[in-house]
Amino acid sequence: MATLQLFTLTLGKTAPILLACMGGLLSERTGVINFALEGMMLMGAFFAVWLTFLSGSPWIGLLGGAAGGILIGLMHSLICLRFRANQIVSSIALNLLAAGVSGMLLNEVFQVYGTSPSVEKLPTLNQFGIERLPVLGDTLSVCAGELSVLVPVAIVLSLALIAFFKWSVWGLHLRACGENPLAAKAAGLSVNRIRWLAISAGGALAGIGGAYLSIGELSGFVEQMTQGRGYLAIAALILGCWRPSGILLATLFFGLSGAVSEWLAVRWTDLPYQLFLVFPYLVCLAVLLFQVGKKQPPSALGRL
Amino acid sequence: MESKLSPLLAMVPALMVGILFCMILAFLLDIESRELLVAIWTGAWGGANEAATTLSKATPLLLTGLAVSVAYQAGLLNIGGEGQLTLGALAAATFALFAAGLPWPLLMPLTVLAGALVGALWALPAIWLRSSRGIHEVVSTLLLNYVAIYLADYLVRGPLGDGTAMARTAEIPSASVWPTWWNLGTLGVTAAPLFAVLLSCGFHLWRYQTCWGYEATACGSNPLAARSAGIPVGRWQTRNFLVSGALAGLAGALEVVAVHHRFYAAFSPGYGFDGITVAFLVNSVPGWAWLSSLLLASLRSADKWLQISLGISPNTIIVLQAVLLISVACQAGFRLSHVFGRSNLLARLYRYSNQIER
Amino acid sequence: MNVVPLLDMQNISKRYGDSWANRDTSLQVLPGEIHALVGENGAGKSTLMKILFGLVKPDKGSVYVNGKPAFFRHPREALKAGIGMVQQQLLIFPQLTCLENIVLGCESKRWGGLFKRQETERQLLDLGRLFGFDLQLDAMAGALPFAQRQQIELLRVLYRGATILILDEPTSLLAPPEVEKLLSLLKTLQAQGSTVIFISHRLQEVFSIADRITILRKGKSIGTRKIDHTSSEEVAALIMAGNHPLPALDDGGLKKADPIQPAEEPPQRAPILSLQQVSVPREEVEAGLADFSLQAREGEVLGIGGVVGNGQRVLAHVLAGLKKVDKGKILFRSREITGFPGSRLLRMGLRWLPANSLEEGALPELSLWENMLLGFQRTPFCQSSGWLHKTRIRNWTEQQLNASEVAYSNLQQSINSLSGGNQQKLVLSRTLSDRPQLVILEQPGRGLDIHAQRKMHLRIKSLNREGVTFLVLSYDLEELLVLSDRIGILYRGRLMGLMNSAEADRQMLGKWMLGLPA
Repeated sequence: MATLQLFTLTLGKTAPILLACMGGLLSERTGVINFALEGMMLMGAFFAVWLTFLSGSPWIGLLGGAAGGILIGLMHSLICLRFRANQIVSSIALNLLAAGVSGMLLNEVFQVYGTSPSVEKLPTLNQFGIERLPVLGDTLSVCAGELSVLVPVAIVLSLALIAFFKWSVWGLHLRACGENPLAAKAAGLSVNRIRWLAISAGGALAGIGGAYLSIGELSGFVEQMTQGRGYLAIAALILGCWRPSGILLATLFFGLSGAVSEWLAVRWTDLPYQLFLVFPYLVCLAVLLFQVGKKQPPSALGRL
Repeated sequence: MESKLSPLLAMVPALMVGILFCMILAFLLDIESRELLVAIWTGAWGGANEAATTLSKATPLLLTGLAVSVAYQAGLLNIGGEGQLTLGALAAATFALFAAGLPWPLLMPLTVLAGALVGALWALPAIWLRSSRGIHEVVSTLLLNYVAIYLADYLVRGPLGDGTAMARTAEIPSASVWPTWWNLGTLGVTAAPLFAVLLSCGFHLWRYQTCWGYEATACGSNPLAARSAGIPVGRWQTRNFLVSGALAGLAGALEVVAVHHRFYAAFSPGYGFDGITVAFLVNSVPGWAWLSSLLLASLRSADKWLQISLGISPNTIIVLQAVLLISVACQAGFRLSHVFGRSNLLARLYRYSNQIER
Repeated sequence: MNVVPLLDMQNISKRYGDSWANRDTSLQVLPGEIHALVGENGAGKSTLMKILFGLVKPDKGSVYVNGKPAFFRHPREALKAGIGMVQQQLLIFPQLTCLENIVLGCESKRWGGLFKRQETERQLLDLGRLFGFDLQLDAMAGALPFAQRQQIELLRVLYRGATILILDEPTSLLAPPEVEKLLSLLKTLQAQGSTVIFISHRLQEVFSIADRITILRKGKSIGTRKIDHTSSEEVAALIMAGNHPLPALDDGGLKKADPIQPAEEPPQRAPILSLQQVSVPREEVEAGLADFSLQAREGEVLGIGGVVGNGQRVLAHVLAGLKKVDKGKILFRSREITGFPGSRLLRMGLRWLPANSLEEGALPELSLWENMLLGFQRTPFCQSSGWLHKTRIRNWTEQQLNASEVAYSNLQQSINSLSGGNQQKLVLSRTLSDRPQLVILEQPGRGLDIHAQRKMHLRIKSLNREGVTFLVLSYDLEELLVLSDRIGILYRGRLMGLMNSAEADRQMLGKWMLGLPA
């Protein structure tokens, strides 16, 4: 039973990081550095709550989450592609902006500070009716019933991304832009358009990752609720060698470390609670430290 | 770096965008934009106490801004100011308490030095990861920020705390406190702002007038070329990054000895990130950082007054800051003449300043 | 018999600022022929072809393909009409496979955007076999040598159905046997019905495969000749008529007219630089050095040639103090300098001009005087106790820039505001200033136009007469033959041999470049 709990917990922790990491992957494979995942997630988290509040349906909220991420993505594209700013500085500024805007809107819209009022959250797998599935329904219901529906969505999206890069022509075009934008342009690709689309799509994914935090796990928005997951996603991107299959493994690993620390926090109560909060970050640093081999980013990453 | 005035001119468009943002915000919140700007001014400089607060806030901002610019000089981005500042502050407070028996001529400088040292130590893993594994320092310093905050939180609630339920250390001995120097209002100003300004002047001279400052700048401009000229790029990058960490730690230490006289949980209200804006608003020129630090300190001081008088959320200031940073970042690839055309005064000023010899 | 020309370019004119790249130039290409376009650097050959291919818009003139007016605004349109171009600067996607490189932009898709990978692979294999290519389709393009990457580009245009192929200086970075292979490939293509336009400044190659030859000079077409109605001497004379003699062409006969060759052999002098059995491990795409021994004599100009990737970069880095040797010794005037850091070597008078002098030698965004200071910042002239002597540095910069005829308005201006050629001149003049002892030049003539190259060669020779020793590393055999007293070839990190350039035997050099023993 313990392993089952851990398994469920891991998946739950992996989902937001995986979604954000996929968002980062789309952007960086086209050659644009994207450290703004944290901001995209935060905006996604807030917009999801806001739209759920306005419409009453968490599904609309989910769309809102995607929209929040897309907004940041559009800004990043504008600043980096049109104004040719330093892509890292732009990312940091956008993270700052997202923190400020989400806090500001929280104050203005809900007239509260710190935590938003509760809203309806997305259904869990059980509530969605997973036991009705033919063969695996009952087992899944028992194992993973408490997980949000977004978890399988994240996994499916990740598999779709692997297929996208492997088999589709658009995936090839995307990679080409990140390898040699001049050559891509010469080959007839519209590099700018591909980059704008990729960054926006990436923003949508990261926004959904943020929405998972606010209306998938909890049922409201808390200021700064992303707590560095966006940066863990970037580390996962590096560890996964900028490949969709790699990032799946890397984010699972981080999810596992988060799950383990949460699981142990309940059991080893004599240790300070901060240790369990900090554990995922320490693991991340350790893995970055001990990774072997050269990670090869897209050849034109950061150069326009 | 083209001329003495170009950092100022980098700031002007950013300020204009900032003011534009304030006007839009005022419109959205249904108040007069003039009211908003006056409120910011009043909150920051309206009275003697407000001025004293702003000046004392300018100190850590100037130092974290210096930290970012010293690292950027060698081509690196130190985003770990939050963690370095926090741990530097904790180290300073702890040192002062443990070494309380020392006389003040020793205790005061050593306390501050302890903070700087710990700040540098906290920057060390990041630069090490970069030079040995090629991991970008932005990722590692950000992760280290979180580790630092949790570490400090644990320490201040536990072994290094004052024993009460409040998450803070005991008050530091009076021998380590920096005395008020200028009695502005009831709060007064210590020597800390002046110290920070002198430090920034020192860095400015080092960067632009010495051969060592030149070597570090070359490393940041083109590490390949610097290497081919025999400059030890790795060494300069490490040196500058460690000094950068030390400056952030120093900022924390000064906050303890000059302002709060103890360390408490969640010590830094984001000074580490503000340093990025402070540095980039003046194009990373150390000698001008005092100006942008005053600007950001004004904004920070004003946020309470904005809340009280106009009901605006303090987060608005963060948004304004982000807008300023974005405007500055956009200028790198965006020449003024594209926007304003040849006849415009601003564009002419810009071109003129590029021809002034230093 | 009146054959309708396949391509007819009439009265093409293109102007860049004050100068004309093409002035009223006309060109006719007959179907199925190999047509060579010759002329020196800056004659307008590349521009003319770029106009044909749709990369550049002409100011005046018209283009007819098969008698019908055709005007291409984008290479895509030219490709649709069957015209394909392989440029000098290859555009390759390093981390994509050869197959992906070749078909990018016109992949055959199934419904839903799925890539028909197997089908494409079969098509390409057939195509390759037809023309005699030998590419590994699933190899990463970034790991391939230059000759293979060129094949990728060729296949790319052939895959898109191009029947008119334009090649811009395809052989400048190839070793002689690779050149042979390429030329025979072109002959095969011609036999299969393609038409080839071949830009080159190497008359030997041109005369071996071309049917007709058009000569361009200063943007104008001087004339078109049938190959068997002319000779390389006549063509060379046509190219150069009106200029002061320039030893820029691949023709042994011209060297006799070269005024900058030394009159007599330099006497045997003491070695200034000696590498003894130096071994350096290989890098990713570059061979290391394997038991490499070389002696450069005092006061000579020693040239080291070879194909890209055979160790020249590594040799340069070792001599500049950037790379450590595994084994062996390096001596400078009988003093061991193995493992000395770059700063120390600089102080001893060893200078190095990197291959990409801008990417590796210039400090972008910084001012002119700050760029000139690079490498000299610790000398007693430029600083005392650390404080820089700014006035002295500025005056010196001014001197150097004026001597190199670099146009600038103010020493404070950023180096980015100078033109590429002027930036290179700054870096070069910095490398050659302050009486160096031994200067290592990597690809010195690269990127410079013919007159700037000539000026640089003269400056090198004059410094050489004053006693500066030069070690020139270049992939351009012609440059080496012009500049050096002795010339050696690197292959896979080994010195294949040394010979006096006055008696240089190109066949032998070519064999060495491909590792074949004497």
